[in-house]
Amino acid sequence: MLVAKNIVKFLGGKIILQGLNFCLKKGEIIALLGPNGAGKTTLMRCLACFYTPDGGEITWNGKNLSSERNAFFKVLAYVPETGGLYPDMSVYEYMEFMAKIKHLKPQQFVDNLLYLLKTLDLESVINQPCKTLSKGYKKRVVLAGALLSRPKILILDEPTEGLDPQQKLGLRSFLKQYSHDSIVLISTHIMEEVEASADRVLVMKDGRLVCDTTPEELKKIVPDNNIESSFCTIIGG
Amino acid sequence: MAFKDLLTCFEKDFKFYFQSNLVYLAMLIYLMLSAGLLLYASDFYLNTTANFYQFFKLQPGILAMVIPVLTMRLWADEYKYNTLEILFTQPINTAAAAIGKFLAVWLVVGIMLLSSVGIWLFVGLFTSTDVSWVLVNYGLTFLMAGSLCAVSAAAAAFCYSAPAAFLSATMLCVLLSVTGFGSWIEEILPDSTRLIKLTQAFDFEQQFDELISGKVSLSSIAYFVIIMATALWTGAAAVEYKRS
Repeated sequence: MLVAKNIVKFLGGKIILQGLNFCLKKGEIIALLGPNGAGKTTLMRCLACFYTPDGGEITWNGKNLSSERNAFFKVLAYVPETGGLYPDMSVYEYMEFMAKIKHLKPQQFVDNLLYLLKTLDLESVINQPCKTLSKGYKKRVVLAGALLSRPKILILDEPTEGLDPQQKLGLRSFLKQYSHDSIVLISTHIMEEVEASADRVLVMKDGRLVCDTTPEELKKIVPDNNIESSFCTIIGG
Repeated sequence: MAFKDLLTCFEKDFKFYFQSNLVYLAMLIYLMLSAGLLLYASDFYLNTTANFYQFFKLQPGILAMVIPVLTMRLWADEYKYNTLEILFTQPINTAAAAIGKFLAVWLVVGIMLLSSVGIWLFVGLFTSTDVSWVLVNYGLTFLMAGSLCAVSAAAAAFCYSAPAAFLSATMLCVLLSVTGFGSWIEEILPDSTRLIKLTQAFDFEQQFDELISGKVSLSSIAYFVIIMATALWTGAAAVEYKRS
């Protein structure tokens, strides 16, 4: 269980996260929603230990992240919204590099690599330089690199951005399957994605958590049962 | 595990130089500058006896211009391709990444220095040079180059783009290596013996001159090692600061 207590983060002298409290459980896909500048990416970076919160604490199974950082990195994977690939490396070299920095054993690397290449349909591009890949493939390679260690917490910033409809469907079903024994936190602007894959929704506005509910409950906020209208009502748009 | 991380980062960046052909460009610039300046700007033909001392004496200035070519993409690319977020959400610390990157550049510079053996062989046509003296001086030049690599890598850590990293690293390395501020003070304040001695002790060019002139002292070696350590720490701190 991942617990965030009163998370505060300042960036450039401006307060970005203003005392966030929530708890994420195994087996859930949690969608993080909010308008631009709400602090979604900053929160994700704090949870991924890229940023250190200026206040509050994050715990994983009762252990504080700031003191158990390296142990936490072994169960965590973060995929940023854009980039994340070394353009001159081939897909295999990238995966090998990721396995090394994740301290995976050679056999573990081979097993997981084979599984991910098949699952994410990357077999055909394994020897291709990352810079020559299409946007969809790039996204999947970064995701595969993150999943090499079979993390218990998967944090994805806008994972379906730039993917074609077929790739979106494929990714959604993969995440649904993956979330059975993991926590999957995704940030998105696409309401259709929230309805299709999320078990829980966290809505952020101005660095605060303004709603923590299920997609079904979120829809009921407005009479027409529309998730987009409900979201706009919550954020005051 | 930190040493393993350091090696992983080293390997990645070392491979990058050869994949991106950057090392060949730097090597070409280096050889052209070394040979050109040695033969045409150092009275090589006017000296009655050809010697290889001039080659080593020119190295701080030449390396100050070439090393930034190698270090400019060290951190800028991590920012540009957003790989810093990937790198630092793994069980790896900033110091291991910074040292790994530095070692990769330093080794590339070492290979670049070795490529100048041809110039030594050319000089050998005119005069006989003491092989052990040349080898020791190559070693000392490698040490001096290490301090320039660290300074250049630290400057690159402060910049988000490769051109900015190149310019700031070149300025810093040139200022450090060829300005010879000890001799400036001597000219401006000829009577301040203490100040002259103090500034000469911190003079990069003078320290290197002493080393290649055969006055190898622990303090001169420590001087370059201290620059290296300080610059590495500054670079790692800059990345850490930018990250937070």
